[in-house]
Amino acid sequence: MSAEMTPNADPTLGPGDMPALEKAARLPLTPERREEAAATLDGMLALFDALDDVDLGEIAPTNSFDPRWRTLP
Amino acid sequence: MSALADLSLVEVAAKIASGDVSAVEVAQACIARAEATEPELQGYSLLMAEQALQEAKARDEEMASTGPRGPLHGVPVGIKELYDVAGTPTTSSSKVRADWMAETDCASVAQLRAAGAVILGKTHTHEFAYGVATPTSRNPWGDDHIPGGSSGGSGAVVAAGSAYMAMGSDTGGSIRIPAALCGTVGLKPTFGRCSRAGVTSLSWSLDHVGPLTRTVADAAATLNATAGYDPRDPGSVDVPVEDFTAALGRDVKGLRIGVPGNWYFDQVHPEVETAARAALSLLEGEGAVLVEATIPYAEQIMATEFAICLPEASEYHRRMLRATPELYGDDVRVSLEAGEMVPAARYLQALRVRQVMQRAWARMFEGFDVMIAPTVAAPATRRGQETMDWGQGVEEPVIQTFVRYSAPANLMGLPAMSVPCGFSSDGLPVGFQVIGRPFDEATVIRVGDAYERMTEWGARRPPILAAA
Repeated sequence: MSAEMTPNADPTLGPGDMPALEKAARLPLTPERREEAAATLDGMLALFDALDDVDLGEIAPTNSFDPRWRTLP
Repeated sequence: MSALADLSLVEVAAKIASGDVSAVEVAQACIARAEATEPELQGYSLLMAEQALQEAKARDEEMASTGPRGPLHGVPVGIKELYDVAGTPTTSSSKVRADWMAETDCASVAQLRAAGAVILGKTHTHEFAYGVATPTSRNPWGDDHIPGGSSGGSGAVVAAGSAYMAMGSDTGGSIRIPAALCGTVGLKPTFGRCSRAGVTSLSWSLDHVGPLTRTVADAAATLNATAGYDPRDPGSVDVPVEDFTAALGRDVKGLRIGVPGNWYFDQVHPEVETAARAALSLLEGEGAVLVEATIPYAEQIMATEFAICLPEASEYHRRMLRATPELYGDDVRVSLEAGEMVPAARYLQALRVRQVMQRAWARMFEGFDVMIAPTVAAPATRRGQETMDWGQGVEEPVIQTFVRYSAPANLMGLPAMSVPCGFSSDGLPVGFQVIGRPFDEATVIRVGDAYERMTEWGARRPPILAAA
């Protein structure tokens, strides 16, 4: 396992990480916007780390699909 | 200034029904109040004075010929900018949708009209409901302070008396936050109780619609008019709708109230905590039983809220963000850009955590009937203030200060109502929230109404009325 793949590697995300994410999202950003978006995204991804502390077992997500055909107005 | 504009929705509806006043006189009083306060307040994005007077005249003619349409007959109300009102633009207070015309009424507006309400205007939202400041509008209790958001315009006009009720929407607290900051009642019903059809979405999994009012009875009357199943809203739930006004006028003897020992009183403004605990003591004195509660998965609340909201909001805006990015405000634009890059697996993980949290909250609620906590952690902040200074080097983004306590009821879909419970030493309103079990709005209303009848916070009038 390389240093980049270890769980303890620094996960901080900066403007330099954005081009690949922009390409994946099909959303190119200017350098100014890239910096701002990187800071916001980094803060959010750090917040989301708390989700890893929950053992989810076989729990399914809340999204659902209703297969019934209904006549809508 | 007209005292007519200071009556509650229920009071003015009764006066119209009894023939004491006409719907036109009531509309004129409300319009006069709006004309006096709006130059400073800017709560309305669109004041439809002429149209409202025509509607009021039609209601008076109906009253004379066939009687009242319903319990809101002739009552002028405001509608948040996110809601479609036929023939008016649904701008969401954004340049992006400046010309977005609504051809038909959304579900709530159609229901309000069916109950007899007169649509007086559209009220400002934080752009696309994505924020808590509503920078277009002022707080009637302090013009240097925000009215909260995202339904800030609705809170401002209800507190100022230029609408008897105004509809809001609540994804992370956007009904209850402005209610607390503007000194009004704000009711977020259970997820699925009221149709969102025709209301611009922020986050499909978390959005709710509901009223901001001057009294709990007004909120109950509005819920009576707007509750019900609607297949056009995929989140709508087909459950019986009771008469919510039946919960009014009751006491709280024997009712078990959960008091959180964690999360809701962490990092809270001391005057907010004092006011909320005083309210709990008052209810205990009237026979309620206070039970200590421990909020489960507290550390995951904000992560779950934002991991769901960000990607859903970005997906809603996908085309607009690419077509006219320059028309968004900076704060909304950057949130939308960042939200596009949240991994899909994180989003699904948050939806799964939400399920785990729901089970734990259900177990927690076995010990009590409702829970009471501060609605928000601090009174209104100043316009342009971006962080909250908690001392000892601790700073927090203002959006988190205001969303922390309100988000759990969005995640759990539980009914929650903010009720005024005092004022800070600066004269700014403070509110507590009553959170109930799923579809048990009745008990939430019962508790809020019982508290309201024991206090006189609602009798105070904001400084903007003295200046107008």
